[in-house]
Order: sequence, then structure tokens, then C-alpha cells
Amino acid sequence: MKKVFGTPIVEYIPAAVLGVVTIVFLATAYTYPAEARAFPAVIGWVVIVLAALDIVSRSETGMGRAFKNALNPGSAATAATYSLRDQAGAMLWLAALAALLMAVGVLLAIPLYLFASLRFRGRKSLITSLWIAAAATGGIWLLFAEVLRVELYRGYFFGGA
Amino acid sequence: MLHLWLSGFQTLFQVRQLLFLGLGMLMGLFFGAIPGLGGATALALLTPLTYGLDPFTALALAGGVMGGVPMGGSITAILLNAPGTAPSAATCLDGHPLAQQGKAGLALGAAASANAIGGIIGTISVLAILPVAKDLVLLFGPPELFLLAVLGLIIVSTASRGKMLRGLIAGGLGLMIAFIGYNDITGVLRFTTGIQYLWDGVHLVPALIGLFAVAEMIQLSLKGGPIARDAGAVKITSMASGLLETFRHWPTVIRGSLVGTVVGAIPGVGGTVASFLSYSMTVRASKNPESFGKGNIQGVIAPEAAINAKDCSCLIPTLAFGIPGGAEMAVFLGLLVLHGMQPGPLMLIDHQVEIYGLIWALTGSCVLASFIGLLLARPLARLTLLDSQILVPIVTAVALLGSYAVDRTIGNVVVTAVFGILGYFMIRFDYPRITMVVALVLGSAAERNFHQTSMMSDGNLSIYLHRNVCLVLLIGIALLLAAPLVRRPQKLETAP
Repeated sequence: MKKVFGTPIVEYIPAAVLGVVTIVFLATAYTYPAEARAFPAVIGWVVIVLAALDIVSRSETGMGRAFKNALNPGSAATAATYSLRDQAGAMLWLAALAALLMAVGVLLAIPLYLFASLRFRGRKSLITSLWIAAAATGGIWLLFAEVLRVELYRGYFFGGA
Repeated sequence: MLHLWLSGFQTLFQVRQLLFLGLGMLMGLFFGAIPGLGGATALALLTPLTYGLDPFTALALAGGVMGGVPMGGSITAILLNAPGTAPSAATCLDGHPLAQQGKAGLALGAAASANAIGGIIGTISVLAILPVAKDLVLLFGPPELFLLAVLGLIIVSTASRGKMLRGLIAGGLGLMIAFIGYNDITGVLRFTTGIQYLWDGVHLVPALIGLFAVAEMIQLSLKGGPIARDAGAVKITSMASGLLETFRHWPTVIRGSLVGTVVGAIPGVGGTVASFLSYSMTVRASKNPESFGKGNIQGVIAPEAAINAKDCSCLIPTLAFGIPGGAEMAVFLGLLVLHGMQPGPLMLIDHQVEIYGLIWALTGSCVLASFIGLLLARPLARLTLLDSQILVPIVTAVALLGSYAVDRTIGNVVVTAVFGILGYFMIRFDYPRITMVVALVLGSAAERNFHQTSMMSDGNLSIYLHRNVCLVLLIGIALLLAAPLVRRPQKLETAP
């Protein structure tokens, strides 16, 4: 992996992303009246400074090591433990469940997601996936709809608001 | 004062409350026993389900969960060397060697009784401290409350075991998120990007469910396979003699409970420090230190007493100042907010009966969980054989549905998913999540107090220097920020 100042480039990503987000935050804050932006602007500038310190402290330079020793001595190395593909996959499954819930509602989304997740991600047999999905959906319906009396969302395509 | 203790006790001693306490305790045992879940996840999942409950019942349920988690964690720590929760890792050091020697029952019995006694001692300490804390919080006005929020964020950041900078960054990000929505002081909509759902700000409970429950599930799904490797032949005998061992080593119990109480009252430090500190102090005080790590029963008693005492005493900073003692307490703040109780100085005045009810619930659950935990030790140990590929989708589905159930708003599902991903990245890149939660909880109140202070002083910042409590808080902030710069670099002990 490509290194910058002795540190893999991926190490800098979180602080860099935070820096960009904070710049957008600050730019937005300065469109508000002075009183409304007073506190957010202070916090925004503080976060920019902290993000810059974080970037420096991750480098293997003399200054970086000094900052790390002073401010972050217990921080762990952030080398990738799981492949990018696996991590993206885990997040896509989560996003898929959220999208399904919004689109087709609880009573279709939950069994579909559970079955698909067990069958294709967990590599369970067809029968196992079917019965676990059915039993878990039943349990969830019982808990939310019957015990807690929550009106389950019907989904955007079925008239859900 | 006695009247309040009794009122709190009475609110708990009703069939409904006791049922929910028992249910919470069982859930606590369950979640505590499974490594990777723990109390924060349990509370994050349960919080939305308490929406329709009255505050007393919701607090009984939460108290039940918090009291049950440590015992669940200890069972798997002793039997499988797989601590269900991080603080129980200290119990592994001597608990598992005892189990390997065929003395699992002895270790479990000692853990159960140390748990119960630690919880009771912790409760007594809290009952003694709360009246003093109540008088103290009356000294706080808007300038003090603003500085207290700043101090809280810095304390939690500096307590993040050598990750002060990353803790502060997480806190800053949390504050930026807390600014989203309608600002009631200035009447301006901020950072909503035109999304109507965000006018009320980012809803706290869905965000917490994402940060803790969903993020842990992403982590667990990547790990894959069964949670623990072998729960096969666990032999559990002579529990009664284990129960008696605790009384035989009463100085260890008292020392552990006091360590837990003191550490718990310091915001952000958490149970892992309490249990390991108690363990190491017991080793140092022992005439036979070389026997530790090989199956010394005091090595089980010391951390267990500290863990439950800490659980009680960390209610003090959480309730009085809105500064959580750990991740579990951070999520618990969300439950309080959901039920209309804003943690902070006024809570000790406006919700005294609820607070005492909660303390009794937590104590009752500690004691109950110790005994029920012994009965359920074997099945709880087998829970760790659950395949994460089955557990993860079910818990994720319940988490997302739970976030919807908070106020029947489908937008909550998106917030939970987004915060789940954010929480995973925070784990992955080693940013503490607790400071973000503190910022989310205290953010709007901090800004309100900042503006009120400006109005009180016509924008003159010297007001902070002319009030005694403010001065003390400012000195505290300065010392905490300066401490890492003057400290000699040292190798930090990392928690397992």
C-alpha cells in the first residue's frame, strides 16, 4: 500500500474526510445569521484544528510521533482487518434492509431480508433459511404488532407515508 | 430522605414493575453472556420498545438489564474464557483456570455472591452521595452548565485510554450533528439540507441504536462463525462453597466494591478499569501473589465485586451531570430523554422518585441475576455457540424496526443505518463512540446555556471568571487539556 510520511495512505482517510465535512459544515454555517452560527462556527473551527492534528499525529515524522505521544498514545493501528469487499458487503446488506423497509414495508421486507441474508450471506440451506426467516418474522410481528401495538409500516409502494 | 427511598422502593414493588425488572434481568444475562453484544447493545435495542411504557416501568426494565449484564458476562468468562463484556475479562484470569481445574461451580458461586454484595455496597454508596450531589447541583446556572458540558466532553475524551485527540474529534462531530434542526433560541433552521425529517434534529434513540447495536452487528458479521469456539463439556459443581468463599474473603469484596464505586463515579472511565484495578490491588495486597492467574478464588471475587459496585455508582455522573460513566450509561441517557427526563442537575430535583426507583431496580437485578445466573449458567454458556450469521440479521432487523417504533417514523430507519455505518467506522478507525453520544445528548443544552450566558452578560466572556463554580470548572478544563502535554510519554496498558 502506498505510504505518505511513512504511514499507509488509508490511515489519513478518516481525518481527511472529517476535515472536508467540517469545511462544508462551516461554509453552511456562515450562511446563517451571526447569532445562529456563533456556536457551530466555533465548534467547526475547533474540529478543523483537531482533524489537522490527527492527520499530523498519524504520520511517522518527528512531529507526528510527538503529537501521538502527547495526544493519542493509546490509539490502535488501523490496518485493514477485513477486506474492503467484505466491509462494503456488510454495509450494502444493511442499506438493502433499510431500503426494503421503506419501499415494501415491514411484513415483506423482514422475511425477505432474513431469508436472503441467511441463504446467500450465511450460506444456510434452503429449509433452514426458510424456517428461521419465518420464525423470526413471526416473533418480530408478535413483539411489535401484538405486544407493543405498533402499527407496522406498510411501505412506500403500499401507501405508507 | 427516607421518604424518597421508600417512595422509590414502592414504585418498584408492583407486579408490573417486578415483571419488567425480571424480564430486563433475563435479557441482561442473555446479552451479557454473548461476547460482542453486552449492555449497550441490549439497552439500545430495548429503548424503543419502552416507548409506550410509563417511566417507572421503563426504568425497572433498564435497571434489570444493567444489573443482569455483568453476571452474564462472568459466566462465559469463567466457563469459556470468552468474556461476554469487557470488564469481565479480568474474571477470566483466575476464573477460567479454576474451571479448567474442575472448579467451575466454585468460581461461579463466588462470582455470583461477589456480584450481589458489590451491587449492594454500590447502592449504599450512591444513596449516601446523592443528597450531597443534589445540594451541589443547585449552585449551577447557565454559565456553569455550559462549562460543565465542555468539561464532560473533555473528561470523557481524556478517559478514553490514551485517545484524547480522537475522543475530542468524535465529540466535535457529535456536536456538529447535534446542531442539525430548528434552533429554538434563534428561530433558524440549520443544516437540514431541505429534509423535513431533520427539522426536529437527528433523533437521539435511532442514532444510538445505530452507533451501538447496528455497528456491533456489522463488526460481528465480518468476524463470522460461532461467537465462541467450545462450550462443550462444562462441569459445574460445588456452587454453594463458592458462595461461602466470598464471605471468607470479605476484605477482598469490600476493597473491590470500593474501587468499583470510586471508579464508577468518575465519568467515562468505565468498568474495565474498575475490574482490572480491583484485581491488581488484590494481587498486590496478597501474601501469595504468584498464585494469581492460576486459579485463585480472590482473582474472581475482586473484579466481580468492582463491576457491580461500579454499575451503581456510575449513575451519579450520568444522572446529575448528564456525563455517562460508560457506553451502557451513554445509551441509557437516550432512554431517559425518550421518557422526558433530561439528564443533568435538574434531574436530581425533578425526578427523585424515579431515580430511587431505578437504584432499587438495579440493586434488585444485581442480586436476582446472581442467583438466576447460577441456575442458567449452562444454557447461557451454550448461547455463545450461536452462529453469528443467524444472530446478525435477526438483531439488525429488530434494531431497525425498533428505531421505527420509537415514534413510528420511517426516517428513523435511515438514521439508524447511517449511524450504524458511522459507528462501524468509528470502531474500525479507533474513535471512541461515547464522546459522540455525550455530545449528541448535551449539544443542544450546551448551546442554549451558551446563548443564555451571552444574554446574561451582554456577550462579555469575563462572566466565566467572576463566578466561583465557573472558575473551578475552567481550572478543571485547563488541567485536563494540559495533562497530556506535561505527562511523560508512557506505554499504556491496553484492555484485552
